[in-house]
Amino acid sequence: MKVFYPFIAVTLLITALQTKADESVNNPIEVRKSSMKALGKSMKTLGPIYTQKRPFNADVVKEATDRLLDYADSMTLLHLFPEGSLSDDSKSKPDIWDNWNEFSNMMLDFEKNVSDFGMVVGMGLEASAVEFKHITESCSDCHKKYRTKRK
Amino acid sequence: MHTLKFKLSIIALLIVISLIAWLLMPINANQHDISEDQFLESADPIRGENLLSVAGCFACHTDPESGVEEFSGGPALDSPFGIFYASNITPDKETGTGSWTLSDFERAVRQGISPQNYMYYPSMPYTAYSGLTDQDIVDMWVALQRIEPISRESKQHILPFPFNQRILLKPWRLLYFPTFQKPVEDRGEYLVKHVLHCSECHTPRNLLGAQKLSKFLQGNKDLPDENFAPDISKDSLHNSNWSRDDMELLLSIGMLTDGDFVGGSMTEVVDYGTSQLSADDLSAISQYLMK
Repeated sequence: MKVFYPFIAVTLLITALQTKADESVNNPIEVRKSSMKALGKSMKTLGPIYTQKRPFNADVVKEATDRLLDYADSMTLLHLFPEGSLSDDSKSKPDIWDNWNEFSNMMLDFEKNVSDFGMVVGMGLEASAVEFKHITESCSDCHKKYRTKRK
Repeated sequence: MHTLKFKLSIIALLIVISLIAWLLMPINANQHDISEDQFLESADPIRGENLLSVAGCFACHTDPESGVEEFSGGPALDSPFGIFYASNITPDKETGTGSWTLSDFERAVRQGISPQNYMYYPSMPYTAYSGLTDQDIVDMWVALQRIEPISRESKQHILPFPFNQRILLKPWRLLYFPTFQKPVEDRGEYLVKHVLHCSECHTPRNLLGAQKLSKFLQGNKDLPDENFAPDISKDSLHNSNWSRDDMELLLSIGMLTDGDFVGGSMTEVVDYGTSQLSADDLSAISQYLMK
């Protein structure tokens, strides 16, 4: 019986991961939208702090940064952009697949910028301000070229 | 004895001849008395450099995608009237602004008239720049002198008939370009209306391409490249529960209220323009837009 519980747990975990993987394959648009929302949630927390509209709170910053690090994985994000995955409610531009190498490099830069930020954020606001700026530039650069404007 | 019909025909002919003569007459720029010596003494090139960026000169007159030097000519601006290209404004004597005087620069920027006395198309936002202060003009001018001269011929606009006829700009200017602008006292209003020229994108336009001032900042769905500019009028911002902090955050790093980032041409506005503003100026803008 003692062996049975871990077996069930592992099975459930594998099923959950499989479901998640299936979802990203079957509905990449929805998954990437929710990933971008998660990234946006962190930026919404960090933005006012790094523009000194809100006080620096180490716990809040750490939580938002951890979420950024979780979602800013370029391989996973690129996987959510299979060729031609467009729809009426997707804001992605077809140029993504015309310039796939550049788009991929932008994702890699984004991942690196988030990672760099993650390494210095514990040192405080001033020490991590430049790295935070680099993340915002990554977001803007990609949205400028590869996303239509929000309605 | 001439008939009434004959007399009316003569009057109509005279009107037509007068109209053609008026269209063909050279445009007269206002003589503005910025004294070169007086102002160049107080000119601040560092401030001017910031203004060249904030006022959009860099964004329009530089084409980063093509890899050419800064200020030596901008990317295509595709409009309902044709394709416009911002010119080379580096101080190169042959192809740029190297042979211009301060007066030439003032006429070009605030009056939309070239040193050769032709009228600029309003794709160059001189209708907004016409309210720039003398000091800002001088600071921009001295900053422009410090840019490395680049020899590069400016691209010609690609405009179909009749829009390629510059003489038609004369009646357009008569209708839509006031010769006198009341000086703006409020810093936020000055920045929004004249330096950042927000209404160029955020105000809808009529069939002749002029802004519908009765709908000032109420959004424009017909920007080039299927872009659109949202309604940023006071009522709309209040209805969307925007705060002054939200506005300042958008202008300083390009972030929207939900943590998303702006896209399209607004990215350039933030990168080269509003992110370079001081905290005081950002505050003045948010106060003006949301008061």
